[in-house]
Amino acid sequence: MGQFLLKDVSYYYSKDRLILDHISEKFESGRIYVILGPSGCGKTTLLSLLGGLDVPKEGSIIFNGHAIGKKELELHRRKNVSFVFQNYNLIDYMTPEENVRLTATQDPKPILEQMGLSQDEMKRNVLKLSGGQQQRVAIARALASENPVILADEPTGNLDETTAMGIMDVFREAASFYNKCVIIVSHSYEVAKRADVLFELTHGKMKQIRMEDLQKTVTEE
Amino acid sequence: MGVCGRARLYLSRNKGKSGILLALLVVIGTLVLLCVSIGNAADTSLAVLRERLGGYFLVKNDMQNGGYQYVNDQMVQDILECGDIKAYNGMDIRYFYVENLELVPGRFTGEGDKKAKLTRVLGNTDTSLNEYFVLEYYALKEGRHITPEDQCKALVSEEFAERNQLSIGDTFTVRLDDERVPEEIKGGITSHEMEIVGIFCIEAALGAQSSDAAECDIEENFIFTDTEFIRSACEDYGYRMDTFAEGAAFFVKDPKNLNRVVENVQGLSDYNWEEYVITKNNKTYESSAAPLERLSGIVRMMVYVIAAISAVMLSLILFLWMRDRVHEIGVYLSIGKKRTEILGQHIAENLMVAALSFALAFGICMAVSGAVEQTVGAAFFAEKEEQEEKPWERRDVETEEIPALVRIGVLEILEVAGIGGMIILISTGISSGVVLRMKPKEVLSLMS
Repeated sequence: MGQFLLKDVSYYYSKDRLILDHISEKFESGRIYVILGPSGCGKTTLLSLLGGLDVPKEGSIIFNGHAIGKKELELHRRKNVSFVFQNYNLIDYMTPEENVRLTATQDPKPILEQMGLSQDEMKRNVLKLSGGQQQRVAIARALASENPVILADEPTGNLDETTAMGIMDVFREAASFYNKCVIIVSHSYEVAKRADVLFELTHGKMKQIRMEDLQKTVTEE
Repeated sequence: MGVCGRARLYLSRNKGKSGILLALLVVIGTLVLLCVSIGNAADTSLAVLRERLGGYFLVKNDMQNGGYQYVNDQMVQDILECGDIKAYNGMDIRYFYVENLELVPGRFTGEGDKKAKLTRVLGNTDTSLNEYFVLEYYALKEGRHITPEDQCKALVSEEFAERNQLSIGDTFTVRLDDERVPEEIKGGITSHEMEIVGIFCIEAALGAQSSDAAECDIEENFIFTDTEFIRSACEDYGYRMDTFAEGAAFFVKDPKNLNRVVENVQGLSDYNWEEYVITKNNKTYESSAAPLERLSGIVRMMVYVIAAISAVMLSLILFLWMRDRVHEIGVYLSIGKKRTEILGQHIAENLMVAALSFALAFGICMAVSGAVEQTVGAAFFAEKEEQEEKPWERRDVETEEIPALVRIGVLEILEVAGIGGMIILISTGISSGVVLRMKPKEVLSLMS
């Protein structure tokens, strides 16, 4: 189980350039959250704070009731969250199997098979796989870690629509079957449609939007 | 997957870089190993040389400036207690008549003077430490040297022995010079018997050679004897001596420390050092060991220079390659790998290559050590031959028996492993540290 709580979180590079402005929100396991917003609005910064890559200037991030301190960021990344990036971020001299083994506590083959990779593909260099396959390997690595939260930054940004929907199916399975809390930052309308909860981040503020307002929001972006 | 597993994977999947690193480390390893071996060989030879050549200082009363206090047994003991002195030779010179024997003729033979039978007898605690023998003006041809335990023994020249048909074990008698001796003492002067224990030859004459010289100044007529003989003979004058009229030479354990030892001796407060003159002599050491000292110094300097250049080169190369590894580091940081673990992987990679390169360098060094030994030996002895004309150089001939053995032993391997390990730690630390010091978010920004 993973429950994230943002408590009055602010982030800025300078006082006159506020990126995140006193955000308070809650993220729970078993659900897919999608955060929408224009480029440069702070979506990736928010994901970095949630993932322990940086610390908020003000406020606190609480995971399962425990505030993440500066000295616990490494442990937080190792034990609580898994990242999935737009450009996959796999280790380029390793095979899919070896990439998943970096975080896996068990044999990585079943989870890679589940992601649709053949035995042959598991032993190839990751750079010899298609973009969709590489992203599946990245997700397999996130799932294999058994960390309760997946943070995905534009996970379908480099993929065609069909492949992107396949990836969203995997996230859905992660939330429903593995009971993960999946937080996705995206521009994509199609990705947003698959969310359980939708947020919009503009001018440093984050607000929840209804599914029926989604079309309007995406059009405005 | 552990640090070593990842390091092994990186090396096996990046064969080009691993190969370049291997080649570079083989070159560095070979150079450092050879330099360390040559340096150690020079040091070992130096240690043997120092021990063999020695250096000494002579303490004598400063008669010319009014010093009348002779070096005596107590003073010798006090100086020996200062430490770092391995041996000493107390010296006396007295004149004796050899009435039953024939000397190499000089001025007084022609004049029919009774001094034609007067010769110089040199008392020594240990004749092997007498300057004539130390500097190889004279060499022992037969028998043995006089030692501190001897009583009434003699070393004579081969000319003196031939002229009088004397050989080892023969005895002859001598009588103290009685000139300028009060009449009441003259009557007490008797003959004293000496036994020949050694015969010396003169390699390079220093004293008088012409027939105008007095018999006692002709080197062939010199007789070396022990201290006890001189002292017991001088009892004929009516007293027992405990002094060394010609002073005492003290041989230090390491001639490199000669100055320090002399300073310690001069610190003995029981003696008025203005009454004595101290003469230092480590020219043999300086002339013979200096080339090796220089070689050792140059080699040591080379090791430091090679190590420094290697560290810089390795750091630069690894730093350039590190730009290609920012992505990898970012991924590791994002999945929660510790910075020390990432640095550990980089160090493990380089150490694995270093271990292989070290084995190759060891093989190369073993193969070329013979050739290097010859080159180094030739350079060393060529330098010495240029100095052969100096009189004290004669003693250097012995140093040719001390080979500069370029051997790669456990000591050399450990030394090079230490140096190599340090170079790799420093280089990897510098190159990886640049990226690892960044915040994970900065690293991920660099990635994108």
